[in-house]
Amino acid sequence: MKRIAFLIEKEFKQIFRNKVLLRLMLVAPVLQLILLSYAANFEVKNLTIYLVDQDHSTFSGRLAGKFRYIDNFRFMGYLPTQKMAYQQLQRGATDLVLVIPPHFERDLYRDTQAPVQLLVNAIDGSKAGIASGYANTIIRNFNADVLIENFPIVPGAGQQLSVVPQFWYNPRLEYRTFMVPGVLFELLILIGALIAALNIVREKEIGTMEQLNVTPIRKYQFIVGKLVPFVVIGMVQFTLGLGIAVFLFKTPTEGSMLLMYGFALLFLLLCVGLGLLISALSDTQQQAMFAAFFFLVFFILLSGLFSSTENMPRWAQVLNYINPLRYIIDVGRSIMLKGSTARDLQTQFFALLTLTLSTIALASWRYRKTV
Amino acid sequence: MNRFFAFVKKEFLHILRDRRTLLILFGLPFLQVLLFGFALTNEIKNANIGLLDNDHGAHSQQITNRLLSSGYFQLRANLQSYRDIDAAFRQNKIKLAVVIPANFTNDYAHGWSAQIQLVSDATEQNSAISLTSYATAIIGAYAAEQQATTASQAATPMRIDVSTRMVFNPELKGAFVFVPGVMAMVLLLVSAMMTSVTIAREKETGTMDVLLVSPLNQGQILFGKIVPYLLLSFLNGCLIIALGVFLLHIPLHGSLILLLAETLLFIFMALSIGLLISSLTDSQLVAMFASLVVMLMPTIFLSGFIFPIESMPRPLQFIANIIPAKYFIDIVKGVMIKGVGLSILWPQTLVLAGMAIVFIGLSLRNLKTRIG
Repeated sequence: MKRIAFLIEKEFKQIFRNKVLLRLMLVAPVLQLILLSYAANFEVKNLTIYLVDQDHSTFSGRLAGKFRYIDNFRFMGYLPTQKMAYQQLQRGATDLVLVIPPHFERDLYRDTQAPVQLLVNAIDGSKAGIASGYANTIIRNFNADVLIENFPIVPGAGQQLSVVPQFWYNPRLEYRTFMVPGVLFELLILIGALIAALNIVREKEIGTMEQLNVTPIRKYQFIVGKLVPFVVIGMVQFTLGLGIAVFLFKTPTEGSMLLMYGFALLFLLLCVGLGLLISALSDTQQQAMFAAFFFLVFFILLSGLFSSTENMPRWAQVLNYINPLRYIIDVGRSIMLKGSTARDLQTQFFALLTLTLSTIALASWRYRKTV
Repeated sequence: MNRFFAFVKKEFLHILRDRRTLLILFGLPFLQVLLFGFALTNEIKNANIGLLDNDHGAHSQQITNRLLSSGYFQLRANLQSYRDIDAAFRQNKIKLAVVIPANFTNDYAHGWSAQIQLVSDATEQNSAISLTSYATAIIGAYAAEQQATTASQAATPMRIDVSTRMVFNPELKGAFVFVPGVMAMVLLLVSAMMTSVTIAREKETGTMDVLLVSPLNQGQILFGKIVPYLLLSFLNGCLIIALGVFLLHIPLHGSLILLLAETLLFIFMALSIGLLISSLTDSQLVAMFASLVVMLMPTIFLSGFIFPIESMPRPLQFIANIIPAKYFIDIVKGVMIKGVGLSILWPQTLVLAGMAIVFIGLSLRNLKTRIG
């Protein structure tokens, strides 16, 4: 027991001595949490639009006006020709161009229909879809206004079917509420696994590992001695992150914080275990770093942090069975936003437990005291 | 000059000897392109839904059938009460619950107002929105059909016909956004992170002092460090372009030579950031963390690669302007997808070149003061 305590003391001394690293370790999560929570936003706002009005009529002017004073759009001005508008699209200076052809007003009165053209910069496909949806809605509303002015009879109501959507747990559909619980855990794996892996490989690289190897320390003592400090640091970071989430971002906390901490502890053990495993497999810090990076990219992208795991193809879902981040992000969202209880989260608990135990077992098996 | 080549050769040997890192360096772009290209879709397929049918009438039956046969939804739970919805959400069993009230069929058939509730688990805000809108569209189509059969509608007068043209990306492929982003990320990773870490490593193990007392001058050491990584990154860049063009079918409308030249410029800029970071620290861990925090994270989140810049708050939009990847992504999109040339992309190119000069100047100065 005493040996472990000494080992832990040594680790803490080393960590506190490296002021730069300590600062980075504390700044990184805070920075990322803030960045992600403010920057991570799929909402489409401030769409820029140019207008090519070749009709110059009352109606075309009114339609243009619809885009002028509206939240989602920024009206950039008129352009004389479609070619010039296309150039603006090429330069990336605008998201949308609305082309109102000549005789728009005349056609609208005389024929049953009048065409307009909407050019959307579609490099970002999902944004383009939403942008064209907004623009189409505005035009349709304008159309309805015009229709009512000219044909003031309301057609017979007939059967009515209304669909009422309800968004539970996040009624204002705030992206931040969805993001923060996920980011909290993503940070833990990023920092826990990386730092632990690099720390041990460093001992190998500068040769102090051999010194440790010739001491009477047992294998399990070494592993516990390495696990504990990093788990403690991880818990401090977690608390910090949780504080920011709750007090700065006002993320709801429906469920039990004790449960949240319990899961965080389990997850941290897993992260540090992963770090141990990576370090056992690498000889240089560079190797460890890139190996850790490889795993993390894979875990993070498939975790459902950005896009729902349910829509992923079959092979990705199978790979996800061994993705700890996916379980813990589920847990974070469920506890914080939905108030799920331990009983609701049994699957996740057992999955994480299995992953943790097998990672640590694998790491201790790979770690050899002999060179 | 011979000395310089010997030095470059040494660096190459270092890189080539570490097979595992090399494997990961080239595996990483593959993995990312694969994951981004095929796994991260926002397409809805077989989403788990629950049904709370208090009506059990003809219309409710038909609407349910429509929803389930659309391919977007699959029935996971037949619910009995509102409380069941909450329980199912909390266990993450379903994402959406369709609630059909009692007497729905009766009300609807008589032309009274009938209501269906779509209750979604909005913790996953994105998928809640798309699930709701898909279901609404299906139910809306059903209602329209019912109306069409009961009363044939006359053609509406005064219809504005909007023809929407999705310029540059008519099929709305996601690859057009993320391939340039992945490219910027991997190049930064290889160039900036690798160089800063290798130099820090030489410092940590003490071999840097050996190099400094060798007859090589500083410029030679610096460029000797840069050259191998320049080549490695360039190969990586070409690999990603090839993956994008052949695997994900991104067009290459502009000039390939311009694209490669711009890639080299970006790599050079990234390498100079790596040099700067390494001139500021002696430890690999710090070098790595600094590249991660100062470079990689902002690149991922602020370059517009995942999240649109226009939706960010003002201060972040401002920061986004000093992130090199943003300009590079603009350039790649411009050359590959829009097929434009330097006549339009000169401002971005100039910014990248300027950044490279500033960073390399700073790191040269720092290095000198350290040794002097």
